Amino acid sequence: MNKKGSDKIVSVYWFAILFIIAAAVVYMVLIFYGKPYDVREIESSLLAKLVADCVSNAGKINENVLDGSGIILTNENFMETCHLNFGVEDSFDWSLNSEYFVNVEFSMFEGEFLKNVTAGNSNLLDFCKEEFKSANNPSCLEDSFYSLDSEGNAYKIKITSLVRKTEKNVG
Amino acid sequence: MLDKQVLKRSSIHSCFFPKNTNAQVSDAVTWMVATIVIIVLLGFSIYLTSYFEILNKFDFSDAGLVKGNLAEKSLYGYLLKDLNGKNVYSTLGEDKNFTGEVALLAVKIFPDDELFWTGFFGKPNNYFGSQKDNLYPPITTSFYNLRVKQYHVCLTKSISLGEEFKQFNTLENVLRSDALFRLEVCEVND
Repeated sequence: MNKKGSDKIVSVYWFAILFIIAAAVVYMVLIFYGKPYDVREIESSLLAKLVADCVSNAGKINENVLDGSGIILTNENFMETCHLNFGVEDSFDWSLNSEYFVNVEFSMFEGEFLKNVTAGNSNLLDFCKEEFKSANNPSCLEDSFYSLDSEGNAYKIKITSLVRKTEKNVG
Repeated sequence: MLDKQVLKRSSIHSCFFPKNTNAQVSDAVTWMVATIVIIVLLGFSIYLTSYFEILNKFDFSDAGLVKGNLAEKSLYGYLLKDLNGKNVYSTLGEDKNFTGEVALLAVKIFPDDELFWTGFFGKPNNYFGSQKDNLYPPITTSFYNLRVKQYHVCLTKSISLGEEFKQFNTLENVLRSDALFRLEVCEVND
């Protein structure tokens, strides 16, 4: 038997095994940690909670939202009044269109509709329709609560919040 | 000295790689079996990793409530609402009874009986039935408690009604009292 030849074959074999093991380890790490966590549902819930806190506190609608003249919250002052910032990192062209949308609908409790106030990318609103709801689409959350004004009149306030960010949350 | 070393190395080498062809075949089989064992072990490791990946994948919908998250705000509004010149909080505190107009307003505010339960702590009522969360809450005058129980995620909010509650310092006394009004919001996670 040729000693030099067998040594070379054994070396090549060990390199091949080393490569296979390394590739398998990398593959296992990718399987385990490769898929992103989808936090959009929680994010939209937090956004809704933030807006609800801005609109109402301790059962009463805040004065910077509703005064004697009616609802003073508008599309123009919504972001500033509620201290919202829809800025995102500059990747996947996210800076071109907002990745967030929020809508606050005011109506009398068991009564007429009063006003809608919105902020963010309104194109996302379609994803709240039942036929578009899926893990691959933007996350939509609709929730409502009961609140009173200073005179004790009851209101129903419905908040719709949407978060897109599909590229970083869907594996 | 050098010759001895060469001779020794050659004898070791001939021990592992003898010139007999049958032994060479045997070596090749050994290497092949070793390779197959390594590949099988790696395959098993990959299978285990993909199995545990499912366990590692944390479902954020189990982390807390999503729907009904704003119910706590509704509860405060409900307790402040004036009914016949007295707010719901005072009415409940004095009457110690969850019934009539007070209960009907609660049903309107919390219409989904799959999601909500309100009433006096520990007492089933005609409007919402029995409590969804049977575990006892911690004893504080007002608390915010999130608890994951089986497939339910429950948010509970309890409000003490009046001064009476302050003298209760044990769980039994709290359970005997009529002074704890409670809201439960429970989501069922699949």
